[in-house]
Amino acid sequence: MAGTDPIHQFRITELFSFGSVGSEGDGTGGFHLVFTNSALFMVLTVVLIAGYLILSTRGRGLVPSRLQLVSEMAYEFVANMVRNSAGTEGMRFFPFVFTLFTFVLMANMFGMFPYFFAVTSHLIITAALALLVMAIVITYGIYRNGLGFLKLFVPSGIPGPVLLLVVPIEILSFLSRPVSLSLRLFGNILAGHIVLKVFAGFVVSLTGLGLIGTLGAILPLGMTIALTGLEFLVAALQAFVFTILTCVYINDAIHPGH
Amino acid sequence: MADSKPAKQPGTGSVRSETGALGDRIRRAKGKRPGVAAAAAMRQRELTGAGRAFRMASEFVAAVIVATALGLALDALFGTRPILMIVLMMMGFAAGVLNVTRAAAEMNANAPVPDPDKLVPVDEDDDDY
Repeated sequence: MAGTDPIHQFRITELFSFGSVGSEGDGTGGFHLVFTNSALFMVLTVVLIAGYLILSTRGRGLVPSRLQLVSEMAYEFVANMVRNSAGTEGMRFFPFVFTLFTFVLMANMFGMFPYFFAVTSHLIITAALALLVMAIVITYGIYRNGLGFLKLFVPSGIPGPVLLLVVPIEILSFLSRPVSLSLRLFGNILAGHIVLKVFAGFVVSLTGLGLIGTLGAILPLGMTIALTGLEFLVAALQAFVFTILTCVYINDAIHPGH
Repeated sequence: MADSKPAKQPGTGSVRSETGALGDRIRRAKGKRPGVAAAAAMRQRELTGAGRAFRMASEFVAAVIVATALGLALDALFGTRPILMIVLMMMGFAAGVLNVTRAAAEMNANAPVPDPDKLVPVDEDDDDY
């Protein structure tokens, strides 16, 4: 049944092609550059965020209008998060963190619309975001602290021989960060959407069974409604968690000693 | 308890309570700003149930996955299969536990300070035992 297939919603479809790079001419090999539904929703996310922020703050009112107030709230929300986790110096990363937060949040929220595509339900997207965070953390950490950045792996106050064991563990712990960062966002969104679709599918299947089935469908319907509310919470929460951990990691880049 | 504290230091008591009151007012005014209030609410939301569980689990599992994958890659490189994988997997467990303790410490730091009056056992409860 195509209508109740819970995986169908994650299918990548090609909208139009930019052509191939380095292919054999008959379409085999090389890179096939395609604008997919995933790309479309990423573009929509960015356009929505940029459009809203630009339009709502155009008036630059000292007493903000309602639309401007939402933009200011978003600013204060993220600024507060960055200052609390990474200190005032972390504020130089504010544009990055703000972009990340709004992108993940709006991508998650877009995914909540029926028939829309949840961009963050694909590991490649969240992994790319997490690797971007890690690249920035490592680059800035080395740029600012030089080799002192490696102090991140050497906890202070530990005697020499124990360091032989602790340093590899610290390195593994650091390496696991992008994995846990990307898996958490991807896992939450993917699992949430599948569960939602499975329960919604029960409603469709049960109503096909006549009167008793229709009465029985009330249970999964109630579950679907409850899960929808939960998914909105998860969508906001995971964007928040992703961002706050980014701030924590950026703090490590600024102050590598534990 | 709050009343007895300034009484112990009569010289500094009034100044302290004055700056304390001002600090409270500033804190309250800051907390009223919608963005800041929302961030505080989110922090506490993160502390509830499933979100926290998923955070802990993913921190632990990620470390084991990374360590095992790294071990397999190194084994393939040196032809020592499966020794390095086993060693690194155990280290991965350790790193996972380290991640979880760090996450827990961070959550504890973000948790609101409990009301000290509520930490004191109620007398009536003690009589039952």
